[in-house]
Amino acid sequence: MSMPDGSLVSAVLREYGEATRGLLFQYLPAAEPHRYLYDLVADYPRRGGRTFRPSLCIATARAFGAPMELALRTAVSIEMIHNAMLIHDDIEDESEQRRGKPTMHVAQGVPIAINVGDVLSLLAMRPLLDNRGFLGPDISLRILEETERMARESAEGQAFELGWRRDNVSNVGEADYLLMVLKKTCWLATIHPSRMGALIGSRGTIDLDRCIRFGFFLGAAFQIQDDLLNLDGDPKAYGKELNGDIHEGKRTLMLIHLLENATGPERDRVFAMLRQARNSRSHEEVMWIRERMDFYGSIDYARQVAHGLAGAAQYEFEQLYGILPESRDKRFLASLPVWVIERN
Amino acid sequence: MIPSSPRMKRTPPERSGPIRNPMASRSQGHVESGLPCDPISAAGATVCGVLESGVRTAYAVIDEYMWRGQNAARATYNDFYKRGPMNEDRPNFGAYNNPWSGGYNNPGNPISMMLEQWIMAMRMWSQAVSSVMPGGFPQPGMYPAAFNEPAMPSVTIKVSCASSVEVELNLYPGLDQARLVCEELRAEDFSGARFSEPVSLVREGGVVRATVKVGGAQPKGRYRALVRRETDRSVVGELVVTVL
Repeated sequence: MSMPDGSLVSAVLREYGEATRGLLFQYLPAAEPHRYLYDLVADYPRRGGRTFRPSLCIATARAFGAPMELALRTAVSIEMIHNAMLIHDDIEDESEQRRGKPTMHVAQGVPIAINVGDVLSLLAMRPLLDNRGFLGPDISLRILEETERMARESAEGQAFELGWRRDNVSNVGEADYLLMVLKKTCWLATIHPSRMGALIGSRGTIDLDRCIRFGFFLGAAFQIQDDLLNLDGDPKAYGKELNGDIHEGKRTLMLIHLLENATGPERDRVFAMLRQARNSRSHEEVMWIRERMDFYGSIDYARQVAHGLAGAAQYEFEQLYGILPESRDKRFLASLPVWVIERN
Repeated sequence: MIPSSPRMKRTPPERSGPIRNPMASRSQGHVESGLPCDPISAAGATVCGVLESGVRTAYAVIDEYMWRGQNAARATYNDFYKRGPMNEDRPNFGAYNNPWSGGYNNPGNPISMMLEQWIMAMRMWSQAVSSVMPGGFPQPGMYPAAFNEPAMPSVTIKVSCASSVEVELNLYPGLDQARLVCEELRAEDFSGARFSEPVSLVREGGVVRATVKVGGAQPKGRYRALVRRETDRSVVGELVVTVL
């Protein structure tokens, strides 16, 4: 009897997550300076997380018929880069909580947090270099090239978001938002893991660009759901401060919808708040924006767009993986579009 | 003159619109948020309009992104490796005959069937708009033929053991007739536990015969080992043994 979709996704995430973490910690040096560097490098990975990205990489490779071992080092690298980027993102966003605890820079100070993020992203190169013994030099080099591209795309997406916030840009539209999400979120969260899994699983015989569409729709639905959880999620399960995105002035789909539907004075009030430094933004103003989002249906709107994008991801999944033989990993991949918009 | 009788009227069947939401097939026409997706009702029309608008915008964004990437790739095409960043120069780029396709024609997948026409219309729309872009739009068919692998070899597994075990041998597609060797089985949990007896893999024609011996004192757990081609040591598969 097959498992329900949600149980299957949870089981696969748990299994591949354990395998990824088991190897990841072997790549973290047990050396000096412990207190100021290597203990901290292990901090975010130890806090848990869903290990969605490495699991997507492993499941894709296995759906093509490759053993997990071949994808494991790439999966480890993806998880390390993800954690390194989280440390830097938390500084850039001035976030206070990550996975239920104070963020790295809040606990350790900004200079040390930057250094920890730098080192973690460098340590992520080692498993990719170790790929040579398992995948051979050609595919290992291609994975390094792909990792460089993913990092560049992610940085470009982050640049859009940071720039819009710094300059309080007022004309960010839905297409701008989706392009930013494509680069900032989708490349690391879904496109890159899919491409790496397909590259390893097919031994480099398929056109990796075919993974971009599936990864984009899946990742965009994932990001919008993440943004919704920031407003409506269970604070304990979510692990970050609720309404933090409004406080940080992030251009989410809900904020864009609100700005498109609000009256002139309301728009002026929103932009006046966004012009302020983060620590000057009052709780009352944040809650007023949150209330206006409810009033104008911005949250329902974003939820509906996420549903549509998940539907497109299902369609693109069939285009991409439809012909692969049935397997637990293929069922896992097929379940992801619904899972990303149902998770809490 | 025949007196006229009251005309019989048939109640028009309740119309149903195309399902444009992945949740709809799971929740009888209602999305999980509780909002109806019924194009007849005003609220439903709004929901479906939002879905269409959002996905149409997303397709336009991804189509333009791919188009720009392909142009950039042409400018920086690396002839030696025969692959630009966007892969458009691979020999099979643009092939219409896609052996991977057909998934959405699968009658076992009603969601994809329902979404097909709608999403194809989205693509056509975005391509039509893009056709007026300077430089035109990349032709459809970014779906190269690939992954045409020979059949897998047959596998037989012989296990001698004192306890219950499950054995799984996964081999890469397209394995040739090379001799195979299996590395030492090690515990998946990185505890350091290993198998004392080596695994034997013997290739006999198109059949791989694996022999696994499990000692009575072998700790419970999942053990993995890579399977390599003997000549060049490249990885061709994986053996997984679970001691229950």
